[in-house]
Amino acid sequence: MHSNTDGNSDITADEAAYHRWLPVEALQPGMILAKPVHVAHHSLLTMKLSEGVELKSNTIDQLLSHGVECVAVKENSGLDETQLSALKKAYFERLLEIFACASEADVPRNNRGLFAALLKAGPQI
Amino acid sequence: MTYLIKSNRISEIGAKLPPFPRVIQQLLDLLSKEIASVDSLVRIARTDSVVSSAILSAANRQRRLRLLPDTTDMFSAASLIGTNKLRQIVISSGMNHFLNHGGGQRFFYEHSLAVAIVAHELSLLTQVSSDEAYIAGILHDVGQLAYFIVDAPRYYDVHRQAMHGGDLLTLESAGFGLNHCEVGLLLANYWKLPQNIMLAIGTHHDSSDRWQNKLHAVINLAETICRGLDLPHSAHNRVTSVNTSALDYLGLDWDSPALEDLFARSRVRFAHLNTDTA
Repeated sequence: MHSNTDGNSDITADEAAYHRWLPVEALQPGMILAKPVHVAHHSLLTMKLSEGVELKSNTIDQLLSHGVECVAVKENSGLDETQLSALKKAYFERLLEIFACASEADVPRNNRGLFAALLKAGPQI
Repeated sequence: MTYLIKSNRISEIGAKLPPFPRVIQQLLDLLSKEIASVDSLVRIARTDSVVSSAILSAANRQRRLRLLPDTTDMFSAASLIGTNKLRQIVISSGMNHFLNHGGGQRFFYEHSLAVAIVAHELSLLTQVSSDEAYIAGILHDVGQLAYFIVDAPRYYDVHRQAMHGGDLLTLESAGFGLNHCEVGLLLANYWKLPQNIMLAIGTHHDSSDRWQNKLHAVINLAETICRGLDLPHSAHNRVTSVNTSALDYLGLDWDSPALEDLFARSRVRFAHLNTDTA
């Protein structure tokens, strides 16, 4: 079983706050998909849902039975700008600690790609 | 007296560990011959009460959300949660007790689970067997179990030194004769695990750019990504060296949206599955 979703290269950290990845078990009817879902089994496409689709009970059942782990749904983070900014600042500081560096400029060349990717992905909201 | 781990002593250590989970051996046997179906997975799960309970519990949580009564029927429970999730529950709950043995460290199990999840997500982007990636991920640190059998206090000391800037593999070799990748390789051989998984365990900290196959690069990268994601959270998570050749070998790019999604999905899956098997 293979499931994946298409990404959107233009999504910024701020916009990302307006979608949330959820395990399929936590989905509720009425939620809106923020990213398309493609499920393939032995290279054959067995399920396809587009971005913007409203989830119904039977769609959630199908996602479950196709073994989809989690999907992105449109959802506001519920945080205001100040809270978001504080969360991002704490996340940045934690990343520096994990990469054992005093500043972003100190991150060794080989580790910069992962550091930048994690920073772009942002904290879990 | 210092006890050094040597290859000819591995059966002695293996005998002191709890038996390698039969459900995992059965699953590996099954996967080597056929594609796992709900029916074949239920047959395996029924041989282990902890695994059976975890499956019923996951299915009944979903039934309650739909206001349905609980079920005790394994087949209907398994059908509800699907083969993908079913395989993961069999592996995760099958390994839970085993990995918690000796050291009794929750972190050890949680880290193994996190690497399994990230490895599984990476496998979906790289045409690596998802089952092999998940199993190799959960087993990648299995060599550390030997240290808890041989001399747990000394291993805690090795860990403490590593937390303060020492190189873990060097400290393990100095303290026990072999590092946990080397011990893991020997233990995997003792348990007769498939060659591919055995080598993934043995190379998960390799800094070289010589990859024998994609699975090994996936496990190496998954270990680093988990530390970067702080998954599970630990004040001691550090990323000091990223083997970028693993990323190149897998044809991945840190800037790709697929990897950004992988980070988010891994976090969510870890939080969810960790509560399933707690």
